[in-house]
Amino acid sequence: MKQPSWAYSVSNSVSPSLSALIQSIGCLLLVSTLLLKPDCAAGADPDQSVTRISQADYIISDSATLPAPDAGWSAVTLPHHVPKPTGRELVNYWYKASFDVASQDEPLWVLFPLLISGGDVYVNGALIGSRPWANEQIQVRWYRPELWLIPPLLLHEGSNEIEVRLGIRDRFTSFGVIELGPESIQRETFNLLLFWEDTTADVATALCLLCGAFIMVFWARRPQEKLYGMFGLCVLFWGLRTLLLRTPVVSVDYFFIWRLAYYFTTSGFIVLISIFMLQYSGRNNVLYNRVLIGYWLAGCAAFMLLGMSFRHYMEEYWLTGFLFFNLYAVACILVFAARLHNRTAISMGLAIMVALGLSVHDLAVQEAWVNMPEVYLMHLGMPAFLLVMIGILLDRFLDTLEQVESVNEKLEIRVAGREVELKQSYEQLRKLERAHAATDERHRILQDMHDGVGSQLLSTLMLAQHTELPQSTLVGLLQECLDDMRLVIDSLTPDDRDLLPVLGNFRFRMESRFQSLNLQFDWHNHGMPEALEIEPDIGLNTLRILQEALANILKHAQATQVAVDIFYQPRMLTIRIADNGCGFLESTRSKGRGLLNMRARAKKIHAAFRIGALQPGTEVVLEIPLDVI
Amino acid sequence: MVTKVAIIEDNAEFLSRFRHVIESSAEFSFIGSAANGTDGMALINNVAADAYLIDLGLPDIHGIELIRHAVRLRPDCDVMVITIFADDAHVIQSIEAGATGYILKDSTSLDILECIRTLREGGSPISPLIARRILQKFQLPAVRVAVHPVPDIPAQITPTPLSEREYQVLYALSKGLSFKEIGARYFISSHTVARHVKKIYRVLAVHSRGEAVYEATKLGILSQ
Repeated sequence: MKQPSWAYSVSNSVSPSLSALIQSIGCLLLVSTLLLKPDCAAGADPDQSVTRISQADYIISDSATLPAPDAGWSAVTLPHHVPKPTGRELVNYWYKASFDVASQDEPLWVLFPLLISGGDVYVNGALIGSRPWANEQIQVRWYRPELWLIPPLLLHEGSNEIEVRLGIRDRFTSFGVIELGPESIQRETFNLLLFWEDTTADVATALCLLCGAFIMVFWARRPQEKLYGMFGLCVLFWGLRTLLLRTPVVSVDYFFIWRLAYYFTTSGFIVLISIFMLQYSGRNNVLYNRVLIGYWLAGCAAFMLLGMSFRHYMEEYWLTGFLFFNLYAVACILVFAARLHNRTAISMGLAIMVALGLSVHDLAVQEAWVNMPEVYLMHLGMPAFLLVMIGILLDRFLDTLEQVESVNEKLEIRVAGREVELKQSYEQLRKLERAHAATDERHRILQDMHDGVGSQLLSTLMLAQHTELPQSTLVGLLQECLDDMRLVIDSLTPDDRDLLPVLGNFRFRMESRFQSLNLQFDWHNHGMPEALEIEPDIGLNTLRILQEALANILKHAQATQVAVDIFYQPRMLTIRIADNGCGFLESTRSKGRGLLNMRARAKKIHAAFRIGALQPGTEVVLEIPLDVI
Repeated sequence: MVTKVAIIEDNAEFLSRFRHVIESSAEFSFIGSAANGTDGMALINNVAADAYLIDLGLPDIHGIELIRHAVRLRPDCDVMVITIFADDAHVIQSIEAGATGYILKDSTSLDILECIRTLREGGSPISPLIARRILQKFQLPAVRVAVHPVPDIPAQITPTPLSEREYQVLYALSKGLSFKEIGARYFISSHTVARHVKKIYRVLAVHSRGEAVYEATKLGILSQ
């Protein structure tokens, strides 16, 4: 059996507003029930100035004028609610009652809390008010009070008589109490009764139709929610049924079809609500459903076939038959509510009990099992039920919302957690990278020491050991060692690969050295970028080539001017060192070692290296491809 | 007016060379020397020099302590640190302690004299690598994270204690431009550029003191 998931959806999270809502529904019902009973409204605390007539005489007569006193009047107590004589479909009645008028201070108003069948109202034989009543052409049912002024001239001191002529097609004769009193009180009561008998029913009907339509739309969007669909249908059926029932005047031509529609919707509602209740309480029973639906359709079909003559049986037996089905469903839902014990189920059970109570009341009133005014209350039960359902829907919605929110929250927490993880792993990666970079750097420095300053120092040492070196040569060699060390130190910047500051440092060192020798030294950067990111290895070798070239000029070229130009292009760094010295060819031999060094270093960094002769002087051009990075 | 120079250097050869260079010029007068930290402190206490040349690698007291002492005791003096490589780590440390110049141990005599002269005239030397390091110190990490190379002069993302011009100068220096080139770019003399550098050094010293105070306050060493 499929569990009705929504019955459980509000387990613990019923909002306080919902329970307040349910309680207020209860109050509303109580109040309305009290107000609806004219006995309570006007009779419990009788106002001195209002006369209530509850003794009357009536007679069955088609006469258009008041039948004679000896025509066969019977005395009755109002409200008069007894089965109509069978045999005739339309029965015409006269009711009359007498009342005393003491003085004529204030005009009297006559109030019929219920004049369900309509009628012409006379006072002392003069017509004072009329509401259409059933005749050969129309069928009527007025669910509203009536209030008319009795023209003072019609009244005289002492005993007066009020007479009502009406026709009844319904199975029961129904005639309520008559109240006489001043306008102020009468109108107030009238307004109150009008509101509860008429306005509330209209509001309830509109509400049912609207909500039913809305729920059906909802169901169309979520067809898997069968319970919603069923409930929507229930509400729609109820709305239609109330609409039909409360149509005050129906032409006889449509009376049959109207009645059929009424039976169909009323019993359809009962069928649907019974099945709904069973499903809600998790006791869906296919056999029960089939029997019930069969009973419903069979009844309607029988009425269609047999016509109005079958009406009596329809109402007396067929409609009553639903009560047993319905009671079973109600019992199921009450047991379910008691067992589940959550507010949703309990409020649902309560609403159903209220609705059931009201419907039993209506049945009792209709069938005249009790001597109560013919006031029907069921239309108030349905909105209560509807409110509970809306509450349930709202709870479900809020539940879902909460779930979504909590899911979002969880997701956010997870994302945040993942972010932290990512950050951590990123940091770890950075740490590793740095460690790796440091290792690389150590390797590089070692290699540099080996290739550069180490071997230079060693060769200087060898030279000094085996030959008498002139002091200037020794100084020059040692200066080269120191210069190389400076280059290595300058390029020790693992966190930043920008070559510009390193180049700048070199430039300043060289500028001051050339300046102290009174040589002109010009350095120009052309189109340099904001930062020249380059592998430290390439940078260092570039600087070494530069240094070697400048050292050669200092040592051998006898130049007076040296120019360094650095050209930057996106994929190429070109360095040109030009002097105005004695030229390359004249000193080929002595420059041999330096030249070899420079070529080797250029090859290492995939740079093109060439030497050219100038007039006068020499130029060294180094082209370093930058896409090697 | 003769500039009085005192030298604190433990290597006797360097000391005598520096002394010789100072004494060779009529502009300068050599007024005392010390070969270790303790004597150096005493020298600073007893002899008011216009310029102190201090070696960092003294046998007993770290040169940084001496620089701090000298700057504190004689606010009008200039302190130059003597360094072999002028590597940024050592130089920055000295500047933060209050030194406003540095001098290479193998500088020519001309360089040495020029350096002290510039210093007395209100300027300071700087190398691009040191400029870069100072820039990094003023720019909080957020700036260094900036992925895209900034056009020309990058906007100051975090407020630094430097003026806009000082910042511009520092940035240009870090990119390898000479004082002359920077002067030409901003229509100022290269002397003015040198003076900007000295101001930057002073700001860095104050800045680092502030940072030290901040750190100490945070650690509860100093009460607020």
